[in-house]
Amino acid sequence: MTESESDIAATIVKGILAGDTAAELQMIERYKRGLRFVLRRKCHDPDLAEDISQETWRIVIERIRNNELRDATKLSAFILQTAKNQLLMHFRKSDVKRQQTGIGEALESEYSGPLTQSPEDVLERHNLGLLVQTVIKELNTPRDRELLHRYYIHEQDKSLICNELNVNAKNFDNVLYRCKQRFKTLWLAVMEDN
Amino acid sequence: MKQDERIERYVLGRMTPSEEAEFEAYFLSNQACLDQLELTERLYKGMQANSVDKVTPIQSKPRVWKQPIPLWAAAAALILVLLMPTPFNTSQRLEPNSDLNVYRLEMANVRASEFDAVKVTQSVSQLVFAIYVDTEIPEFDYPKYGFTLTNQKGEQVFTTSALHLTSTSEIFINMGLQHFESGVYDFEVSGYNNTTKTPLHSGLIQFN
Repeated sequence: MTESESDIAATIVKGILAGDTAAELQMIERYKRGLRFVLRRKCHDPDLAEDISQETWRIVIERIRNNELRDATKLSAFILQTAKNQLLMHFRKSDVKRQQTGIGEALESEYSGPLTQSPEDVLERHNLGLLVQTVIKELNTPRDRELLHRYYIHEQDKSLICNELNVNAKNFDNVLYRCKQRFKTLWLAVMEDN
Repeated sequence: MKQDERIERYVLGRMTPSEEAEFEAYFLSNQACLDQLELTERLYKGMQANSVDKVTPIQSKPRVWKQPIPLWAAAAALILVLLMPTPFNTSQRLEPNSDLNVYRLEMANVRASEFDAVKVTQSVSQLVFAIYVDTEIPEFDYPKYGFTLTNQKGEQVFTTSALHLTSTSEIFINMGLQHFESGVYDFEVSGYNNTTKTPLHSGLIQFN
């Protein structure tokens, strides 16, 4: 964490301790995007991520007011740990409910856990696949396509790929960089269209 | 380690738990890093999708529906549908991947006979129903939607009332990994506002 980030965190915590609601809002604004990103990765369910996020803010604010955060510079770690605990509690409750009502019985808004994808993930994945097909087709050489496949699909190590495909680390980074930039352009065009 | 490398390691799940926790604390408020993370994650998901699916373009339904259709064409289409002697499939099974079994249910079709039930082949994959909702029709525009499934004995075997439209005006019903007894079921899609529930569409699903 940079010094300036520590200072900002300390100022926010000081404000919340003093009862300043503007400091609470500042904290939420500052960290909410990152928190949602982490939670969505962990539970693959945007609605659940949002619910956990809301609950996290409530708890974090309450605990800061009660002076339970000893080191203000650790604010982001504190927020994350609170969120992860809430998510864990949610998973545990779902498991208990499933066991109590039996398999196959209907449950309102049943959450099926981190091993399954949300419907939004289904569609997003499909559309992303189409964009990536375009990016891959535009790559100059078969070697660059091979590089991407090995790295993102077979999840091979960068050094192994460089060795076997006879590319140096800088070329490897360039290929990834070009792909990402092209992908970003295509993605932004899709977002504008929608 | 450079930030780009950390981002790649994080997205590909190559960090140790403590590395991951430290990196998450770092990027939680770092908007530039989050931009790169989201981009890398999308690229990664897209690559994964290509490795599993034979990806074919799904027609962009909202654009088709938003084009003006002459009244005579709409009337002719409706007459044609009503007069058609042979059963027609009210569903479109989307290209499956190894984890999901996705079926599209059409809101526009009239209630079908048992011969026209949406035929669903159950598997070990998670079952998802996708429904496009044309919210330019005021009667279909609700803040929330619900879906119920009832067996031939009249017992409700699945229900949810917390569905929201995606940015492409679709609702997805996540049936999870439940296995339904083979047979024909009634389904109903409803719109919810604060005070009322309004049935919007119903039909039949046959689970095999």
